[in-house]
Amino acid sequence: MGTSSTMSLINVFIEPKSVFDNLHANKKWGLVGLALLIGITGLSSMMFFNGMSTDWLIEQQLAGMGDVSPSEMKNARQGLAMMVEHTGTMAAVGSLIMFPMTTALFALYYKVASSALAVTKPDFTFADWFSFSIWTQMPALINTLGFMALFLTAATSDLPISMPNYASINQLLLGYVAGESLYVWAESLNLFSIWSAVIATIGFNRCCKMPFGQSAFCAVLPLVIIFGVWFLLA
Amino acid sequence: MKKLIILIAIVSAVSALVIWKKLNSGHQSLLVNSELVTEQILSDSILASGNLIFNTQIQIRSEVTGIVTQVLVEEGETVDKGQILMQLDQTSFAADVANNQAAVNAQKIEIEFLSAQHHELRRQFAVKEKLYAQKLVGYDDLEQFKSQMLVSTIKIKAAKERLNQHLATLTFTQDRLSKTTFRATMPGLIAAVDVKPGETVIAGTTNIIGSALMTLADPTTILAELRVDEADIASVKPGMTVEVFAAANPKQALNGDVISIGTSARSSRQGLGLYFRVKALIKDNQQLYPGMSCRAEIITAQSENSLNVPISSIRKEQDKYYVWMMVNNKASKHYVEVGMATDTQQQLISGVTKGQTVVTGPSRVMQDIKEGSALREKQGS
Repeated sequence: MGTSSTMSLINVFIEPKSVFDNLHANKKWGLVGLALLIGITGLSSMMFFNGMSTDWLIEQQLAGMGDVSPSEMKNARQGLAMMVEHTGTMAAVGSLIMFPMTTALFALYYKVASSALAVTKPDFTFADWFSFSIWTQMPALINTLGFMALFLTAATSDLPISMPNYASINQLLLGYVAGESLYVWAESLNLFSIWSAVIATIGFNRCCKMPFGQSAFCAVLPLVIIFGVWFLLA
Repeated sequence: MKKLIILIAIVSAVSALVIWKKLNSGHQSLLVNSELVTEQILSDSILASGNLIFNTQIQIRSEVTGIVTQVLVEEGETVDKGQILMQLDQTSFAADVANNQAAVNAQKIEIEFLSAQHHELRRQFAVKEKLYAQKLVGYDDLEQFKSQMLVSTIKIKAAKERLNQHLATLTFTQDRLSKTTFRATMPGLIAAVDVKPGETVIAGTTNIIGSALMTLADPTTILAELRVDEADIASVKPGMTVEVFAAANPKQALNGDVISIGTSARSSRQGLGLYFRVKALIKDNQQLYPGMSCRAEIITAQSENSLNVPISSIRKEQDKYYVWMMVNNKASKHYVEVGMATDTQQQLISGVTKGQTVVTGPSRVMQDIKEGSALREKQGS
């Protein structure tokens, strides 16, 4: 019988193997983790966008469109002006929908991957894999906390809307600007995604008794496929 | 202990990332478009479209009605002055001339006859006078003869006037006969031939224009007849340089000068606004044909060879103009004095030197540039 405790919410970062060794027992804390992810992400979005002036927010979103014709710019401006006041709310609702969906998709992938490659197939239900998936996404919580630290300590409320991606490879290394073909790709791939892959590697190793190499392969494969295809198409 | 160290390391790493991001956001370089300050002559111009026409062009029409028997030239043929171009059927006209010639001849014979008669009467009068002196004829006989002589003289005068009348008619018919032969009134090019042998040509009258037969033109000078919008016409003056681009060769600029400007506005066929007709004499000798469409740039103002920059790089601050220079990838504000401008280029009188790099856009980014801002050139700018 495994032990569960609130410490699992900390251990997932400092000692992930203990969380995966007690995956069954930590299921409810996994749900707490998901709730924290949704709640803190939604709260940060609302605080971030609601603090901005509408003009700034419209200009920022228009700047993100890259080079467009004056008529397209005008139409976009009119459309954005109608929705700008609800940007924060829409972002919060988005995280409420997106997090469970991506968690479920990853859970499905992990289940299939373990069925195909696990040395010892664990006696996991889909709910267990869902919990597994939640734990691998917990680095996103740290990402959000860092983002909150950035905008709460800023001198002004009118901030670049690319600020949530402060840890992306674009803002750390590549420096693409809006409109360039790889901008969105580079903004989407960040250090915390890599951290999530590391946690998933540990999870596969502990739960499925896979060698580290094979575990890393299973953990990184979704990232490689998604970002690899995206890179080729961009 | 190990967990604590890992926790501290994670917190430190994330904190360091956040702090680095805060520090770096103030030094983020802006991606801009840039161009070099160049030296060239700026020309402000008005655009117009129109057609090419010959400077001297004669429309040949018939003064007599008749049937064409010969067309001796073809479109595009060069002719000399006096060369026969075409021929109408001369039969009726020649018959008229012959008729009138015969009348003249008959009248001359009549005059001869009357003159001979008058001569005989004079002889008889001389005899009568001798007989009267010898009192062999009466006074009445003599006076009767005198009257007959007077009548004969009058008859001769009348016959002479009739001769003049016939001569005039003969001249008229000869002139009409000559008009059945069409000759070139100047050396030139047959620009159009609108008639064929066998066709009937109609002479022009007061309200009816005669048949158009041919167009004879001087091909050495060609005009561009341009339609200049009423909004632009005030800027156009005679003598201004024009660059004409024929539709057949749109990349070749033909130089010309404005020689005349219409005095009244005309309505365009599409009913869209008014235009003035401006004629420009083309100086370059090229293979051009009348009727060709063309577009033209009328140079209304031209600067000297001077420094200029794209107009998008010019910013205004109250009453002063400035540009952002890229100096060692940093923004530097330079105040400038501006001169004339075209749609895309601005002349700068002072404030910059040739070869310096100015920031030209994007306009959204230029609003964020401050003195010393880190700049990065966009690829392809």
